[in-house]
Amino acid sequence: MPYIKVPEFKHGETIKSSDFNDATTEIKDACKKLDGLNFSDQAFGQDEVPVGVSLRDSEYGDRNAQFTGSVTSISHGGFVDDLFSSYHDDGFIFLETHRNLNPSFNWPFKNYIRLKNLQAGEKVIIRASFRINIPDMAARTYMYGRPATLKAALVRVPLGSDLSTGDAPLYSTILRPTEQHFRFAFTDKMPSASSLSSQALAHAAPVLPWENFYASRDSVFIENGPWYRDNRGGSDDNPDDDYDAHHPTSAGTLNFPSQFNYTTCYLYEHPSEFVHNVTETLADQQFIIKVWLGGMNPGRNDDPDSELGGKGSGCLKPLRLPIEISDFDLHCYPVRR
Amino acid sequence: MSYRFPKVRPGENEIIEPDDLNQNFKEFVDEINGSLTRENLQLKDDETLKKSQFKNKTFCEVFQSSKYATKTWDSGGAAFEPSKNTTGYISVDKHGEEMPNIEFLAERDGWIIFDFNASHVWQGTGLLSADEALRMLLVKRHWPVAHYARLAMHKSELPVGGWVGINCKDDEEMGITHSSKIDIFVPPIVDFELATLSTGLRSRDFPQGKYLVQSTDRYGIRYRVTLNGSEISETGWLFNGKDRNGVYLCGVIPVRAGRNVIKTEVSAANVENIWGVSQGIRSEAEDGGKKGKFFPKSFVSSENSLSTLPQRKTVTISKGDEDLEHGLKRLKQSHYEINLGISCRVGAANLVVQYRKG
Repeated sequence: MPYIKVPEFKHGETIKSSDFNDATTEIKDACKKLDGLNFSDQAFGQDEVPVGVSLRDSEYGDRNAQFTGSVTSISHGGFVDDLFSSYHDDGFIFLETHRNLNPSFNWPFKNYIRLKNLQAGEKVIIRASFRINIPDMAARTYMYGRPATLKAALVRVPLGSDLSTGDAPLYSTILRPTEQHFRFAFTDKMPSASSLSSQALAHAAPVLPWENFYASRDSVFIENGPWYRDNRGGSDDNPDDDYDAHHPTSAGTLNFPSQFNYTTCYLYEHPSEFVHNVTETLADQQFIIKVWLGGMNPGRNDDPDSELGGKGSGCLKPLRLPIEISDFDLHCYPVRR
Repeated sequence: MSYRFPKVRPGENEIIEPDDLNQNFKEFVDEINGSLTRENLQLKDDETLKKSQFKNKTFCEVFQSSKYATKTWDSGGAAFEPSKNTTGYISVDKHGEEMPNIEFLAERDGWIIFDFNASHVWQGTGLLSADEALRMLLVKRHWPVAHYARLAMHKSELPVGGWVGINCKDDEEMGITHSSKIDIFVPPIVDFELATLSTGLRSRDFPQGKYLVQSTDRYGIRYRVTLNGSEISETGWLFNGKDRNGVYLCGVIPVRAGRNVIKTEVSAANVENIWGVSQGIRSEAEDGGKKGKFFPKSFVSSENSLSTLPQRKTVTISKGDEDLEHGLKRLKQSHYEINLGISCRVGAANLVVQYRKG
């Protein structure tokens, strides 16, 4: 409501009744169309302001969505599922393999939040956080070993598809500013018989007098005697210090586990018109956290036939162990006023 | 308080002056033109205004600034590259890319809530010279395991630390072709001169290498958020041992009416504690005593000494095996390509600022 101005009456001029009435009418009309300009600063206190007017608004449906999760594990996804490596049309997911949603590989807790009846220009703040525990997989046991990387980001998924079918709809969008990667570069060595084992000797050429070079752990140590001995399998002093006591999946005693934290905050503004696809303007939208674990190179032949080692020969191939995600939280709130 | 009454109340038969009318109208007009308060509304005790009566941005304004790589991070994609020319904070990199920042006009005093997250990758071994590479990566034969001396991390981009292995594939030899550019020769783990046949021992069965007590985990990156040039939140150093990592900063701070600028900045450096070793003349040894027993053998002379990140380059180190024992063959020269230096890239960053009006 603009400021009002009433006629000013001057000396020597005739005051008509219409001028007088116009003035009062102006005032009456203004009172019917008051807005912020008509009120002084600090005109209202908190008693006049309704609850939830600024940051909470249930007027347009369920907005204050929150999803939490306690603990889950994520397994290695493999290259084909790495949606983060796909840069197409500013982030849209449209490759079939990237649409896959699997709680064991890339969709922790089957998480989601839903926003309904969004209006153009509406703003919503989305926050997400979770802890990450990555065990030491001894990836650098061999020279070309490389540890695994966990990637995570917020993804916009237009509502209209049932996520439980296992596929995100086409034209879902990875929100690149929320993308984060996690990796610890240093690793331990797989528990192994680095001084040779009798089992590994079973593959050795028979022409050499191995009995002159190898002695079992329990044999009497002879100075300048046999070169090799198996240091696994415990001893009289440490009978529990055997292969099983250091197996990475059961004992977890490798020395370089790592912990990380993913936290993000993203301001989503609902568009009035689409840039890439009409799904961007749908009034109902979902947001999920998607992850990918992979990139590990055990540094030796990945052929399943090469799964020799461990107790059998001397060293198990570095294992692609799952990682743990815990204390998961995904929530949002609208910022209207 | 917005109760107003006519200033002039003409009496019976009194002549009404124009100014009387003007004054009376002015009382109401002045109130309507920006002086109304809650008393002018017909609100009951528990009644509030309607939500629809508040327009957007009445209490709060929100802003966002984002930055992200447009290709995969592992292939060099970057939103921002910290400087290798300074250890100080920068907000614009050598390519002209800017870290997220927000400038806004606050119509009144209030405060801001900011959320900032980013993620970065490190690439490189962090080694500074061929000498350091030789010292850290050389794994000599150690009794009783008889293998050839060799360097770990041929062509590796990972930092040096933890366990570094020197065994390669199952049958040990790798990268050998007549016209290969990879001229490293990694023979079987044990190869006896006396034998005409291969030993048949598979190196994968007893991997060799070394543990490193001190790793090249000395390069750090840090982020901060500033308001009008003053630092309001910072991460501290995040080191390259976690060579892919994410950060998050948040905070609340008052702002004044007027122009306000919130910036995010990045700094990367080689962060080292410099150790000194006590030298010089010490006391004479007592019988059975120790020389200089009252002096520390080493001490920190400087903590968190900063220098710029080293440039990346590749050196070729040749290493043969001069030791001959127990009938081992002499190994021909092996040539290792060792990557020196290290780089850091920010892959994605996002800044959200909420301005809450006072």
